[in-house]
Amino acid sequence: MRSTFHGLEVGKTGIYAQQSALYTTGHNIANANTKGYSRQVANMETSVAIPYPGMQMSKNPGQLGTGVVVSDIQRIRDNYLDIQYRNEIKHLGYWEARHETLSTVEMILNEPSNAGLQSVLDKFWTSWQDLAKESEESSARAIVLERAKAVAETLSAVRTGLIDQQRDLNGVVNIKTQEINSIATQIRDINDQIARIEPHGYEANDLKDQRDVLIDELSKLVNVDSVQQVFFADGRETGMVRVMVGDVAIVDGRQFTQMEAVENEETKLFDVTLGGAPVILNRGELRGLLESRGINVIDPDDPEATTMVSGILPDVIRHIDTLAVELANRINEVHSTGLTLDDINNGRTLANGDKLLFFIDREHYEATGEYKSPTDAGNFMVHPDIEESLDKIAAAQGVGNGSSHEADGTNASSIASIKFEIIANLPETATFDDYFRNLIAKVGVQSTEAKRLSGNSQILADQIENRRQSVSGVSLDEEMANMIKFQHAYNASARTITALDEMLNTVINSMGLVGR
Amino acid sequence: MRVTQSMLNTNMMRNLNGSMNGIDKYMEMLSSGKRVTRPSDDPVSAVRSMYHRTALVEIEQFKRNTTEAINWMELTDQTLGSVVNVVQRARELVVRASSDTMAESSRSATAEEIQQLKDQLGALANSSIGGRYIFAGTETKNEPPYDPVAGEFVSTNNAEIKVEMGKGIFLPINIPGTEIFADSDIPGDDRESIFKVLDDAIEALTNPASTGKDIDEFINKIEQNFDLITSVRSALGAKINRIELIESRLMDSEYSTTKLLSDAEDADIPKVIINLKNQENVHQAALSAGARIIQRSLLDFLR
Repeated sequence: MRSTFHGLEVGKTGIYAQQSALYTTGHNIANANTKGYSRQVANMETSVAIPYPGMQMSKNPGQLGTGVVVSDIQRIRDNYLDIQYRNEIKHLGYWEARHETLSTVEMILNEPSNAGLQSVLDKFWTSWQDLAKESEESSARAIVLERAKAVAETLSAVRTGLIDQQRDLNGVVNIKTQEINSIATQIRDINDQIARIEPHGYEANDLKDQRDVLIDELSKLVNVDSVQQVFFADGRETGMVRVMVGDVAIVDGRQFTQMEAVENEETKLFDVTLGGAPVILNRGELRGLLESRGINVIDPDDPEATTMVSGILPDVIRHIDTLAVELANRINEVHSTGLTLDDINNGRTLANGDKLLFFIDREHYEATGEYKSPTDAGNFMVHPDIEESLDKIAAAQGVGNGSSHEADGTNASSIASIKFEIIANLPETATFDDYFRNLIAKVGVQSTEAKRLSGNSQILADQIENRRQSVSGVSLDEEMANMIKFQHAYNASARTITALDEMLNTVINSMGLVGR
Repeated sequence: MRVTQSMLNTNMMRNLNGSMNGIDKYMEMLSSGKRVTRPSDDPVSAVRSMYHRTALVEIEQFKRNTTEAINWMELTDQTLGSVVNVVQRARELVVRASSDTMAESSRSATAEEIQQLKDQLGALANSSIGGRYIFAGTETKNEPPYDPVAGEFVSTNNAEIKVEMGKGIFLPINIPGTEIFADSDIPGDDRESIFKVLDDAIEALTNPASTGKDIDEFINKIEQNFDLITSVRSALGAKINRIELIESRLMDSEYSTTKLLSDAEDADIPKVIINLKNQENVHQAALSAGARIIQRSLLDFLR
């Protein structure tokens, strides 16, 4: 039997469906600029047609359509693009972190310039040359002293700048660890919310968008190796995900693994652990920061040995320290085998001469009052006796084992010549100038590389983001056109209801009233 | 491929940013005049520029050294010139006085004059530059090499003051006074100190018993010293020439090193300006195109 109000029902389904589609379009337009939003589409399907085949079925021609139903609100998202994006963004985070560190190191070293360490050292060597020419003049001695102090101050300033940066990065490592934990917690919470909704057959579209944004953020910080679905025992999807970082699941459904930054007693730097074990990262901003700040390197052959910290900053600091310590050692070696003006004025020879070190270790002196060669670049100090009296600079070299006279500048000349010597204790065959230039070259190349690679990564990440936008982004023109489409359909459905209403009016009010 | 508004926006912003970066880079080059301000701009050039800067400082120092050496040596040369004149005059006087026909009063007048010449010689032996005695070896401050009271050349310091004129090139800038004014220390050479010779000559001249022949022997002694001093002086002249050559070579070095430094470090200004202009044009085109595109949407055309 045919239903009287069938048409009205059909019109009604049309109105509901087009309304839902319009609401979805409105939602899309409202969220056109929301970060991470994927456009949603109301999928319409025809509702079940009648008559349904069975024993007592109607003999009317069929099947007759019963209208439209919105089967689901689909989120347009390409998961493969998400995987690609997360793979690329971890490189970006890594190289950006390294580039920033190296830029700051370049600024601290300040070369090439007229104000950097190289220039200060150059002037230091020339002051010894000038002293060699007129070693009896106290003005030349005063200049040597001042230039020496400038060297000590510059070395100290450079080292302090580098150590401060290391300390800053250490603090940032801690902050990033908290950030990672916060993101993991949020992912866990969203997992929980989604898990309450999806088993009922609903699509938690907006929550999934938020979760994807969080996972993207996490991917920049650490390498997110995979995002897996969590299943019920019977194989159905729960809607929750498991986020893997290396072998550890940082978020697994409603669980998450805490990342901790614990201060290492020996190195005073934070060690980062994930779930109790040292975290193994291969890319991402956190790894970039750790490598910049320095990572403990345990010698596999000798695990008990003092941990060496290796990384961008520790290596630069070590390089500067080696340069400074060897410089002081060599100068002290020559200076302590010369005759001071004081020696000459009192007729002493080398055997009973002053034999002063030129540069001494400040910390050791302040603690014990004893003199020894500096142990790192931050502890340079000119021997206090020399500060007190310029006559204590040993510019002379007696002939044989004898004494000498005031214009003898041979020792000063020897010290000035150290500039041109190949120094035995440096790791490579180099003069002090060469060794310092090696450092600048190394930092320069590393910095250029980091800049280039972070630029490349940025381009790739942008391209992938473009593809994502192409698939999931809201196009206002499209939504406008769709809106018109749905509006027309809505109007037309409303019209059919009106038409049927008129027809029914005829039937109800005008039929069977003959002759009344 | 489906393209959305936000894609257009993002792309436009990214390209604008890229073009701004370019403008920023050229502006920095133009305003600093340098192509390389950080090692990461061009590591090889940066290290090379450091090397050249250091080389320039070295060259300047060597130039200073050569200038000082030349000053010292020229003063020595002038002093020796005066010394030669004095010794020449002394010789003339002695030659005249060696004639038997000279009267006693003339002899004593000659003796007086020779005494004056000796004092002048003493003053010349005590010449100094910047408060340092040039003929005292390395004892340049404390005592004058010639003691005017005792009338003797007392310095025994024959040390050389060596100055570096180039990497590993050490040249002495002084003539030790002992070489010129003291007794000869070369075995077999019997030359006596000019001061002693003059002293003896004065004594002989004031001695009424001296004959012309006695005085005659002094001529030889004076000539020995005269020869020595002139030969030392010509050797000194040769040294000065050598150092002047070194100086001129250093100046050439300075010029070429400065040029190398500039090549490594400095920006080619015309090139940078052209690049900057290009970049500006590109930027302007991007801005104007972007502005037109992102403003339009379907909404403008729907009723």
